[in-house]
Amino acid sequence: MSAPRTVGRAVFDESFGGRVRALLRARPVADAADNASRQSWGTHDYDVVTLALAAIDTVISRQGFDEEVAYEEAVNGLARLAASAHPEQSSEDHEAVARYVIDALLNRREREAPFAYRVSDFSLEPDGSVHHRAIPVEFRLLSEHEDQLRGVNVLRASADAINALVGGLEFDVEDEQAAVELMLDRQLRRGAFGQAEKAAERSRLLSVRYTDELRTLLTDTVRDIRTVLDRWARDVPAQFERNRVHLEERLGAEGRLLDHVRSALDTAEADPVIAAAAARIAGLLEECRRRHTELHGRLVGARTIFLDEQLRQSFRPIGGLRNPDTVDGVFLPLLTMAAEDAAEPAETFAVFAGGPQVPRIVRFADLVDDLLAPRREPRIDEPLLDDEELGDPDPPAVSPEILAAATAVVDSVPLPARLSALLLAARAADLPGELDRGAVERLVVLAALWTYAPETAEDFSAAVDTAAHILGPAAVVDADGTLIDVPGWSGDDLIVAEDEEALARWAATSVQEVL
Amino acid sequence: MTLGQQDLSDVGVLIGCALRPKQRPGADSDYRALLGRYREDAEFHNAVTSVLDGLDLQVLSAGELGLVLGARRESVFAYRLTDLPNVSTVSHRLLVGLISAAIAAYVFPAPADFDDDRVRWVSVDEIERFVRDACDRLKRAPEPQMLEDVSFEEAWRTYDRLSPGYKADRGKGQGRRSAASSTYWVANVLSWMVDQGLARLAPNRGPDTFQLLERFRVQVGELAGNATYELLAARRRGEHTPVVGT
Repeated sequence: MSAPRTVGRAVFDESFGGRVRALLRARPVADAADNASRQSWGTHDYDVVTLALAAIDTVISRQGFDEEVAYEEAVNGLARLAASAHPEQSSEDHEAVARYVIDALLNRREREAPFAYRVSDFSLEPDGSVHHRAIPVEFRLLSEHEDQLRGVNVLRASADAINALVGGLEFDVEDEQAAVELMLDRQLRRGAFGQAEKAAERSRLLSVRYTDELRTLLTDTVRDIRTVLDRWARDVPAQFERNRVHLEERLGAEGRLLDHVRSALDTAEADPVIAAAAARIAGLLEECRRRHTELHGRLVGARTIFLDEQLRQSFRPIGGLRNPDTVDGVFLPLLTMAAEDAAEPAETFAVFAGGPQVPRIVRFADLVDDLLAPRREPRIDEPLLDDEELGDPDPPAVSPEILAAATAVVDSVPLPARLSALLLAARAADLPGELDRGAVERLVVLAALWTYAPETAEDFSAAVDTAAHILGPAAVVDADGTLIDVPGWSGDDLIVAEDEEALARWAATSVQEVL
Repeated sequence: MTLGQQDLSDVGVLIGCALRPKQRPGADSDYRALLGRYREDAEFHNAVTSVLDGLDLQVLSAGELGLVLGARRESVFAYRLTDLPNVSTVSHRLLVGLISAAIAAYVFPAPADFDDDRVRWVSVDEIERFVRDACDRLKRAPEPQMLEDVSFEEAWRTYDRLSPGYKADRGKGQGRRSAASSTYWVANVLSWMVDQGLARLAPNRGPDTFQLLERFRVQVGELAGNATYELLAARRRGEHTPVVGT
């Protein structure tokens, strides 16, 4: 049992996959840097990799606090960096670069799907042959969330992004914290400020992870207390107690370290580099302390949340605690039910999803105000008013009376029917005296022709609306070679039916007549 | 201690805030304070839920979003779909229901997706395509044994009959959608969701594109999804139970 001589043994080790996965986390960033050359600003050599890491750092700096970093804030920050790198470029370019970098980290090109790769896993069989498996790996770096308090969209970094930055693999937060603290302490004693700063930075990143872990537990608790009941009963109280003691220690320790760094500041007056580093570390430590204080507050409130949720969820029926299966449980069953049976459950879904509606009582004063108010903003499905084209609107091509008359004529003939029958009905119809009978006929013919062969006109929506209005929303028109035999018209005698199925039935019966 | 007049008035203020879907506790210190009291003070909490219960309302969540309420169908606060533009017949209400369920199915395809609070965006065309594809798959499916009841028509055909509409030209001559087109109905439902504080327009992401808000995730995940599922399950068992809110 020996490995092939041509390959190093490490590739078969257990830990090898971890190294590959750690390296993979950098791939989206590398890909973004590669694709930058295809952007309009791509020739200017912006350093996409540095900007991407700066973006992740910006996001982490406030993650878990009340005011997390909003998308636009992150863009502005990166645009400033880009501007100092290439002051000769326009500010639009800088903003485009910043958006490009953040969108790449969000994987916006693929609609925010996780980054997905396949990695090779090699193992050695007992007979010396190499066995290969392809393993899919999925992860996110940044994601966008709605800040529920403020309603703005904020960014958060995933554990993958934080770990890739910290440079470690999965580890126990607490031990790592203690280790970092010891290291920092010793480094400060030795005056190794460069490294000390890195260590303080790491300690801060760990605090972010810590906050996130707690957030996850509380979110699970709020969502469905039963999934975490065992944990709450057994591990969580002890864990919280440990955390609390630990946090108090950290708060004390970080206070001591801060004094440390400040004393270093006093002694290091001669060396501005060290002084600056110590000042930065002091800032970092201040932030760590703020984080820990906040975390402490959350910890103290955690038990209250648990008790609240227990109270709230104990009164809910069991069915309400599961996440619904919207596709197979609701959407597809509704589609395949009989239309008349589906109406009520479908409506129930919409009403429950819509939330409450407050019944409006009209106050006379408001009514007068509303009537005097200028026109409301157009809804999404209305055309935008073109400000440049002021002047009278075009008169409608067809008067409403003619339209109503044509619709009445089509309604009076049972469909499916030939166009000739519709035209004869129009000639026989009892129209108001001043209406132009020819115009009604023309409109019926045009509606049928349009439905038979729609043309691409500059503004054809009116045609679709009109045809649907006259012939019905699902009307179809077909030709079978029969020529029209109505004085004044020539061409195919079209068949007008209310929908596809009716037309098919018509075709079947007319074939039988011919036979 | 019992609740005094001021406390009962506060109960009313909190419920008033909860009935305004676009009001956020982050922007209103009174709302925030009363929400905190609802969470911590058991007596106040019970008073609020009891009053809500009398109004046929229930609390779906009381997180940072504020008090999110669900209304039972018989509640005076239950939404009436006929208040939507152009919704008058049963098949219109069916369309609104189908499209609402489609939007939920599109952004939360698996139950676990309700646990992920990432922001989701949808566009009118995406939803149209999603429902249209489902209809096409059903169309190609082998015909089941025709029942003796020939008048039986599946719900999807109601949607399938609508023309997919046409893409409005950019700029000049941008057409209005006709009420006979499916895109009109999708846009209609999404606009309604904006009014209800469940979505907002996201013009930066493209034309006719909407961001779905947390409130939508709560309403569907906590109430609409399971309630509709239960209703359908009861139907399959042959029970015709009246719809209740829980």
